[in-house]
Amino acid sequence: MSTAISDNAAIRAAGICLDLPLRLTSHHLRGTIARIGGNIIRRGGKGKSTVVRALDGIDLTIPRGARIGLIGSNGAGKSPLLRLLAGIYIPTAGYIITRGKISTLFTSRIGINERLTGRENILLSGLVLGLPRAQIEALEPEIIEFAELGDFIDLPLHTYSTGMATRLGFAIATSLNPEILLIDEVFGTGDRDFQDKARARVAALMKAASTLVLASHSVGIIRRFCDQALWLDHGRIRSCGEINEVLDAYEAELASQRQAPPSRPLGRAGE
Amino acid sequence: MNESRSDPNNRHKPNNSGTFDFVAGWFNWRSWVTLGYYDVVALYRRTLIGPIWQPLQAASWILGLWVVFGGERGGNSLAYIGCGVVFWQYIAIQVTSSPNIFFAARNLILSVNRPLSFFVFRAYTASSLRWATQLVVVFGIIAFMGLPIGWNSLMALGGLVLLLYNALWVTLLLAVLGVRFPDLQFALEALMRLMFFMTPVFWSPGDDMLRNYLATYNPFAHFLEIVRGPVLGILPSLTNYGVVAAFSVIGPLVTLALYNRMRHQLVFWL
Repeated sequence: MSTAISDNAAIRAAGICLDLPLRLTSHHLRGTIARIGGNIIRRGGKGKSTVVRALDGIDLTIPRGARIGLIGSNGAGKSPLLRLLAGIYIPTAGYIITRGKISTLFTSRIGINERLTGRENILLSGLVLGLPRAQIEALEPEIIEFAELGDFIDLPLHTYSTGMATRLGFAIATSLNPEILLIDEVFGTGDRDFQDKARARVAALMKAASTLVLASHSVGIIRRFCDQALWLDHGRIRSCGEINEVLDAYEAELASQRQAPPSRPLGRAGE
Repeated sequence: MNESRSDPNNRHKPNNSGTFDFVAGWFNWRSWVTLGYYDVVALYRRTLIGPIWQPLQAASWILGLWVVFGGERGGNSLAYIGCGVVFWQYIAIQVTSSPNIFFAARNLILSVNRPLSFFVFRAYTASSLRWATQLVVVFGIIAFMGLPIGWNSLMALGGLVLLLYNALWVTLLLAVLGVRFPDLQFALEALMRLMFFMTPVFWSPGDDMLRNYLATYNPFAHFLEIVRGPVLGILPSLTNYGVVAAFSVIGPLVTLALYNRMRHQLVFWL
């Protein structure tokens, strides 16, 4: 493969391996990890730790403008791959080149403090996200409106209902202006109404971003927002390409597994 | 890896060195000062006399030590013990709270790509600000005991700046080590309790050989002396300044060397 990044590539990764150290001193936990499906590697030599190979031999080019859905069971390596692309993890081997401002939406609550008011939380979460203060203040009215807080905005968060707090956290986390947007499943919580609102907001965010990588268990969500899919299985790329092709194969495998349950009891807990 | 370095199109290759992370974090100072300030605000938000508790806590400790041990030293022992306790507290707080910094920020670190040092500076700001309320006790002692104000006050201020400066690298060093060695936090708690007694906080060396030995070979004693001495109107010795200067130069170098080595791995150990 050529190493030059073509001008329309937003992200290019080659030969990516990612080893995560196991902070375990006892062996019995190692058996558990093996059953879950991790690839345990024991590095030779004194003082070397046991590691799990979370990603193995990933080659990937994401052109600018692509909308890629990451699919795979629990523990397939979706979150580690997103963290790698975001620059939070550094690969054990291989390299990643990215071009453009990357924003992440991995959690719907960025540094929320229960004792502070909604307005203070907007400021602090914005600062954690790396937004300049002026921009945070400009975003404030729109966040308050989305969260439907009204006068509650100047009360501490512990007085909020669960729904209000969820909406506020979500509104702050999604007030980004990215070129490349990386999303880990964030639609999980909240009532039906909120889910619809959240989807609309993320859809707008994804439209604004020129490039999107979205990880989800849900084939439905991937179909809705993406035009390409990448199927991760035990840290390797199982298949990658046009969305229907990949998702159909993925669903076929899920169906075949339901008929014949896998021998590993904890494997493939994903939907 | 080499390929990417020679890649002419590689305009946005992130620099992942520890030094780069430190500098990038530092220049976010507007953000971490605000965040650190609000960490303290949040801590006291629902209390009645929140910020006053720190000085009260210091005062109660000083009172106890003065009542029991004050007689040994005679005249200015209240000022000596008072300043000793307050400045010792700063050392103890920074040392014992640092190893947990990265664990406490774990969720943010794994969700947003920001310099890791950013979270260290934030915690450093918060704990320093929180401690700063104890300075009221020092001002009270200066006023109440009629301690001299003049050249010595400037020297005390300089000593305080040196203390804060050294606390910064100590915080980063212990934060990094604390991730790799989760036992460190508990070891340091035990150590600092011991060091409180092994440092001339509430006793002075006098003629006692063991105490003189402790006051000479315990670095904390020198850091304490360059701040407390001037407040009391005593000129710190050249040895005091020499030891502090050595730590001020060597400490940051060791810390940055370690941070450059460990920066990549830190995130995996969280």
